[in-house]
Amino acid sequence: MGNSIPDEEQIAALYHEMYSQMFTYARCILQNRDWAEEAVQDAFCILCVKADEALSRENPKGWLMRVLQNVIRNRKRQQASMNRLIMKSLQAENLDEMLVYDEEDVDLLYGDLAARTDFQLLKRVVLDGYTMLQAAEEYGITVEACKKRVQRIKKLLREKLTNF
Amino acid sequence: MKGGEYVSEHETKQRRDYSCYDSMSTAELEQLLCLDFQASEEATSDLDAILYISDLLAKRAEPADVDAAWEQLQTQYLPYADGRSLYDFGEEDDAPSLAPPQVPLGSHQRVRQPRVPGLKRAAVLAALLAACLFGGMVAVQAAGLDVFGAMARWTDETFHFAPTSVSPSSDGQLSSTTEDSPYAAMREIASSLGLDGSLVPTWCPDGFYSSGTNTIHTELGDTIYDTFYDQSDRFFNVEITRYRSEDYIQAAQFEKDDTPVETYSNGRQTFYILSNLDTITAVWSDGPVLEQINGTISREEFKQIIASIQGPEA
Repeated sequence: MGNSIPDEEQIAALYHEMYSQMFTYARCILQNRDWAEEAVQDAFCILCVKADEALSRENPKGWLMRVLQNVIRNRKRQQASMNRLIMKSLQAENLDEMLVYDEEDVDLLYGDLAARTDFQLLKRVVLDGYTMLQAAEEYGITVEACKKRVQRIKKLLREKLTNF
Repeated sequence: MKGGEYVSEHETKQRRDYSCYDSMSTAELEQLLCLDFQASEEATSDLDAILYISDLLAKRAEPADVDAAWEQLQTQYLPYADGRSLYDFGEEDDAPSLAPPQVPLGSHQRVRQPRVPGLKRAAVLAALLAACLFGGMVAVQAAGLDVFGAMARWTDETFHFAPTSVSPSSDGQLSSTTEDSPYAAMREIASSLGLDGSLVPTWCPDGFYSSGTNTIHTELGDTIYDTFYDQSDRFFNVEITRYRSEDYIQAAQFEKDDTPVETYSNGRQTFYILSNLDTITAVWSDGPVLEQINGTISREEFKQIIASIQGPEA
């Protein structure tokens, strides 16, 4: 993907001005330092992608803070949702049968192995409280790949738990 | 310690005084932020107040390594950014868009005396702030002739519990059963904190799940709360606070619109049900204990939740 930072000077200045406030706020709400750091990074990623829109606002700091609130809210909801999904999965008698990706997906020739690995990754993120970055580093993948794998196993579990 | 230095561009035109926060403790400020976040599901927070408080707290904490964080942003996160949150998986039950808020960011809301309908969360901030600022004065009243109970009073725009008579505290017995319920964690934590677990509801609308029980402890009191969501983004909060003084109860004000206040009893508690545009709040108080349920579920669902509360022993 290789995103570069548009308006780098302006965003860098905003980052250095706002980081401590945003981190403090996120840590207060999330009660976790690592999650707070990632939430702030997440918010700034959104700012960078939507820089034209955000920086043209009368109050870009307020815009950024609102994005941070939404990022945090999104995280808390997903954490609760994924936690419920894992609990249901672990209670399922046929978990091994469930952990198989669709064979028609050409990217997943080893569907069962991939699904089990993804399930472990999901548990790292949900039960062990890893950030996406921490989980990505443990698995030697990028943050983007980590997100996609979490998304993939989450989708699989939801489908299987509905169908079984 | 002097106050935070954050001042928005808008603020330079219409400067507001947030110095009232300067003398508040770190725990109190953190409680303000948490309660505001918990309840401001829509874009209704006073962002300048939040930024001021966050700045204040940041100055009291260890300085962060911003340069290292900036480096990490550029190398680890930004290359893969697509404009969506890391926890936005593009599914039907995902959170609403992270796009900018619908409420103009420059539209400041008064924290202590919200008057614009729909600014629902300023109420909590107002209650806590008022309790902090006027606690001393109220304490004098309490030490004199008045002993405060809880009697509901409301105007066209706000609702609060006014002082009236002695009202016994409600430390009922906890039901410490293990249950497979969205409220199980809340009940268990309430029990561990010495809060009355019988105040936790037992009925939950179908499809709702807990976002996790949270607790806040300050000099004002102990609060336990949880927010429940469903897949269509409806939500409701359950919040129980036991203040360290009954006097603080009267400072709690709740925003309402002109819909008549309704009362609903489960036989042990009479809740006042207030409407504020798209949100409903049900509140009950006895002694130093305040219980509130608010959210976007239907009035009937509110009543079923209330009916499911075992409630304190008479």
